[in-house]
Amino acid sequence: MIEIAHLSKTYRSLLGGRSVPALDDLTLAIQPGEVVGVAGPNGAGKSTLISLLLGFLAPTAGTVRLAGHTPRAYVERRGAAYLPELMALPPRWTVDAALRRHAVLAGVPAAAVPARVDRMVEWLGLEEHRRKQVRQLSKGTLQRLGLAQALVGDSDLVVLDEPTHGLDPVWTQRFRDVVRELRRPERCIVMASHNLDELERLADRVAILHQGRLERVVHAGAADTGEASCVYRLAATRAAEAVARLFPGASLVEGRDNEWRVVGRLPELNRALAELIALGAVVASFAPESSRLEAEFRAAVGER
Amino acid sequence: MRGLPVRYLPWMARDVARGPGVGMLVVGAMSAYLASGMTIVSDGRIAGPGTEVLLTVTDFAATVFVLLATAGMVSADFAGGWYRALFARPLSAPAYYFQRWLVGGLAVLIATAAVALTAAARVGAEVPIAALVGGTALGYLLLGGLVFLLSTFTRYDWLVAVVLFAAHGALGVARSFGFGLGAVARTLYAVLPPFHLVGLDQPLPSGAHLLHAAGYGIALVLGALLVLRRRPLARGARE
Repeated sequence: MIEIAHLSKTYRSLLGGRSVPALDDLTLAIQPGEVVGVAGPNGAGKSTLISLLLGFLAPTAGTVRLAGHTPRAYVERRGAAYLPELMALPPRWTVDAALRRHAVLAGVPAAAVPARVDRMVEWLGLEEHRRKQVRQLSKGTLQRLGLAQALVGDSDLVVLDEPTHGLDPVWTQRFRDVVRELRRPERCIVMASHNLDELERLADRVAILHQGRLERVVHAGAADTGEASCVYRLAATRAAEAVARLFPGASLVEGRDNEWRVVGRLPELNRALAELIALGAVVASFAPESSRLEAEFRAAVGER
Repeated sequence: MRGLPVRYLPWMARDVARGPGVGMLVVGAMSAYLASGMTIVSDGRIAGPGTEVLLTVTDFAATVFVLLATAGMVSADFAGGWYRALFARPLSAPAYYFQRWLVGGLAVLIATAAVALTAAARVGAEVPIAALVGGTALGYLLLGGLVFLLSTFTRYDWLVAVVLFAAHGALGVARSFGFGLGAVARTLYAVLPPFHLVGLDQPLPSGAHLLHAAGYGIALVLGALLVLRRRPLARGARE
């Protein structure tokens, strides 16, 4: 559905004197049904990529095709569910009017508009804010309204830029359920976020950008399969000697007497853990020190 | 390009009524009062240049209406960042703003007619309706088209339009008084929109003058639509 080929974008000053490269030779294909995350440090080019995807910006070089069309032609024809990073709506619009307007613009049939708006209001917990003006909303509520306006249509392209920005922990969790519900075989979901944990939970793949370049694409679910070697933290009592023997390369966490950093693939670590418990150790916790995505991210952006 | 977002028309009309419409109501009421107050009625009949005064005041009001109806028409959406959610919809920017421009024009026509007819009713004068509508439409095409085009570039669209309007007026006055204009001033007068051809206090232009005024106005509107079609909507990743 989305085909990005050798995409580059350089911002130039009006007189052409100063140029700032934002994206450099990015190639990526996203299939219908996929949820793809875009991660990267500030200034990596995530928002530029999204603006190019929706046709708000023109590329300096390369192409973007959405179902075979240029982005602008696709969006003008079919629309996209888009949550901008900085959600902005006219401040005097009420929540209800904003959703009704966007439903009309999204092409929702007139008879279906009230029901669709009601569904969004209920889904995103906006009932008590329905009559409020946009300017009266808190950051988190505005973000939920942004999500509601994005989803009030029924688009096959969903583009979310920092979707949990400003959401409280409860709504961050609810947001994950919303994205899971949005999955459809014919729908592409692209989600840019700084929150690697969120991307790891929701995305099938995560594209890591750094300084405008696509450094790597990580299959987010791979850590669960145990294929990758990861760093875990093990907290256990009556286990000092056994840990050193069962977990080669284990090192004591600084300042902790009963906590170790162990490295290995998940199946091997599970076996060692079972043996450790059989030897009489009491395991208090065993958790990844950092996710595979986080490790990949750090490696991609040159951090250790 | 998709067609006009006709289903959104009621919302657009509501925005114009609640935004520029409020200013139009205030300016319109003041203008109608002023126009009827300045018209001298003696023994139940209009004395002196009654209808001309009424139309001059209406013409001034119409100019203000055009500025109110079109100021920030495009630029406000972009400055506020609202365009991002808007144009993620199956919607073409030229079609959306052209419809908005038409709604503004309708509001200007209604407001101008209301001022002229209210003032005329107060003093018992007769207003040439066809000339009033034609003149207002032509004025909107020219000045409203200019603000529309400027609005695709700058937030100060109405201010730049006022400066150009005033510059054209000043050059026209200097010309009519026989002051010798330099080459730059003459060129400027020639290339600025021909505001001198349009006015409710003068007859509707015809022939070449009508073609010049209407052609210029249409070119301004087409220019605005072309800019919206060709230029990327965003200036940066977040702007």
